[in-house]
Amino acid sequence: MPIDLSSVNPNLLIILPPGVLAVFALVVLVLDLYSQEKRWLAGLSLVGVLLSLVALWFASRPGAVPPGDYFGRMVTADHFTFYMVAVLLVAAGLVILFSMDWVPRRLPKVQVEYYELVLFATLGMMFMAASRDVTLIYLGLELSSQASYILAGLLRNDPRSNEAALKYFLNGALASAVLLFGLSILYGLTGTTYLPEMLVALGQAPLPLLVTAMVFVIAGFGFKVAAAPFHLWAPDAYEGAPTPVSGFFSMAPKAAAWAAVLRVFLEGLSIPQVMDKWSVLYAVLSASSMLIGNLTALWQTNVKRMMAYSSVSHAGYILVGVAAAARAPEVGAGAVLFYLLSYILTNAGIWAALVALENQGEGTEMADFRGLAQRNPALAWSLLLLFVSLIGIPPTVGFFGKFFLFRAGVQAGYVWLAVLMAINSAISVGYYYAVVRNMFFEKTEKPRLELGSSLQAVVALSVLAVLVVGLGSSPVIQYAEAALGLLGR
Amino acid sequence: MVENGYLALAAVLFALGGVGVLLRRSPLISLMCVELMWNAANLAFVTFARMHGNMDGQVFAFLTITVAAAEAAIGLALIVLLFRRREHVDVDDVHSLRG
Amino acid sequence: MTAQYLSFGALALVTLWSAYKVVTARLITHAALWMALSFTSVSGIFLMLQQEFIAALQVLIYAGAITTMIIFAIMLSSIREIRVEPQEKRSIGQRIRASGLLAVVVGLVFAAFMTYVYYVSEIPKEAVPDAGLLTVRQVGATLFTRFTVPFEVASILLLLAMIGAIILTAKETE
Repeated sequence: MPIDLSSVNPNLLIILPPGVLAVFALVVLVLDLYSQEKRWLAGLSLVGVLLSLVALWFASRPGAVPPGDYFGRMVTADHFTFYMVAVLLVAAGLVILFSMDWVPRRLPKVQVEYYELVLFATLGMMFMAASRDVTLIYLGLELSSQASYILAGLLRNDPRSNEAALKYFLNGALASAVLLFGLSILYGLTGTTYLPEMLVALGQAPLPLLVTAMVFVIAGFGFKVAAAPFHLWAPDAYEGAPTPVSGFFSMAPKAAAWAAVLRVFLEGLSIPQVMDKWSVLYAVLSASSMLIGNLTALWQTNVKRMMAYSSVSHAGYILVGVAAAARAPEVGAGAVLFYLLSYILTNAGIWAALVALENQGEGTEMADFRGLAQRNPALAWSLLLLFVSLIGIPPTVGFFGKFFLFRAGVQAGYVWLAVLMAINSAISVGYYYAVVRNMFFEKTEKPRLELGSSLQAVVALSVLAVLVVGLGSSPVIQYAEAALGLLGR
Repeated sequence: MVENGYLALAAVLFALGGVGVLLRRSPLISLMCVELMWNAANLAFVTFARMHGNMDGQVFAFLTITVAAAEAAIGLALIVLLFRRREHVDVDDVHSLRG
Repeated sequence: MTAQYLSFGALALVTLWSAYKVVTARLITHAALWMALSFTSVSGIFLMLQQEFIAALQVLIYAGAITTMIIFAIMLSSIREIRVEPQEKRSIGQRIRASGLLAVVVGLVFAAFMTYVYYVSEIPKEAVPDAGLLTVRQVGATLFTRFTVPFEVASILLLLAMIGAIILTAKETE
């Protein structure tokens, strides 16, 4: 029976996905006080994420919520919002799923708070992606960042976790101060915090001040997405933070920050006088992130740290699309959105494997991967496929993601950047192969590696998605490219 | 023009705070310097709001003050946690992690 | 007009001097108190801008809550050694840090640059009535109409900070 939603207030429908998530976060918080058995609360958090996805599906159906801004122009209903919120919820769901076995072992005292923090961070990120007002984008960013600082420091008795959290905190606080200063100048130039109005008012804005503000905003977001040279906190934070939390960092907060970058620059700063300037700046950041990330990753012996540098280089690839979006908005932004999905789906499986190793009391050094093909052949072959996807070899989703970015770069006239991306993909084979070599060509005496049902589910979903979304990429990329077409132009 | 004076003051305050974060090794002082930077950004917001005569800037400043308070609480919690283990905390001493 | 310039000059001087002392202070408690002074004089500038509500918040939250929290954290945690830089080993880098010269230079260069940018840029401004721009009633009305969602997010943020501070610092029991 089709449900008629036309009579429901669209304001209510568009706020429903974050609303459901917030309600579940609060309910879990209260139930924690009365419940001895904590494991089902993790399941309840997962149910919250799934119900939020269902609510999003209702809101995103054609005709349910007409495109536009709701709640005092704070929350935007368009394809971009629906796409990004769905991606973020999927990421949060995967993270909760692969943490379920790890949390009771390593964080017995703060089990429920862990899920609590993940839910709050996701809530902040949803608002970052869903708003066209810098007030809410900034607050969402703060909510997700501050939840992340706490998550990084949850292993209270591990000095490395403390230090990771403190470094992450100080860098993040500095970044948000810089971002805030840039936003204050933008507000000063236009008298509004609402991006489409800002775009109109910026037409007569004096250029020197506008460029200064733009540089501040780029630097602030550069820290959040860990683009070189603003990436220095990332390797330490990734290595020291609890392993599932590092996985969370590499997937969700970055995706939300990219969404905010696209919103702010394509909707607020897309006047011709500055478009070329930020495009070139992002192209330079892109080149440096790719090179620094990949070349440093080659020397790492810890897989978590290696994945951190790998994520810096992937930020570089994504920046190709951002730089291209200045000249070819639909293609560039579509490629970025698609790549975010592909990166999240691929990374989930890899981090699940790292969590599995820790669950058996092992570390995350390169040496811990020795003989994994003997210990768990299915996992080893899955990991091989996921690394293939990160490198960007067909027919995986990573290939299509890189292909769309490449195409966007070429269309926007950044041929040198696109070529650099291809070269860097080749370099990245080096460090991914180091893991693969350890898995397949080294012998070990260690017993079989058991995954547990939730980790198995994450790896299976990840592998399946890498193949299915890769081969069936055309509807996804069409949706992603159309996402921008509807952005209030 | 007086407004330019306020804005210049905000810029100097921001720069001072930034230099403090980059130079001082004590995480507590770094935290205070970040607070100074936020305060500078707030000053710029409020000045601009006054110039434009609309409400957005004040409300943004109001929300930023809330954010700053929350951030200070979390930062202090992390610092206290680290102090518990050691007597003397210096960012340079934080080197269990490479890099 | 002269009175306005004079009071602005005095407040700016106090703000910057105390901020400079925060950056160069040797004792953490001193830094915290200088920070409170800096915040208080910024609230004076908010008063000059006729933003009484923000000025009151500035005093209550920045100068009151945050400073108190920092001082409590210093007093209640196990650090008794509050001096920041050790006396013995002082490299050239540390001397520069201690002298605060670099801070002044970088701050002045950045400030000169920003002031220059502000002067060459004509910021569009509307004619604003002189007084009564902002009352608490108006702030409340705005917060609960157009800014409802950010306001709720801010309240969740405060809840999060509370949970975070508790679970990070609670002593392990049992």
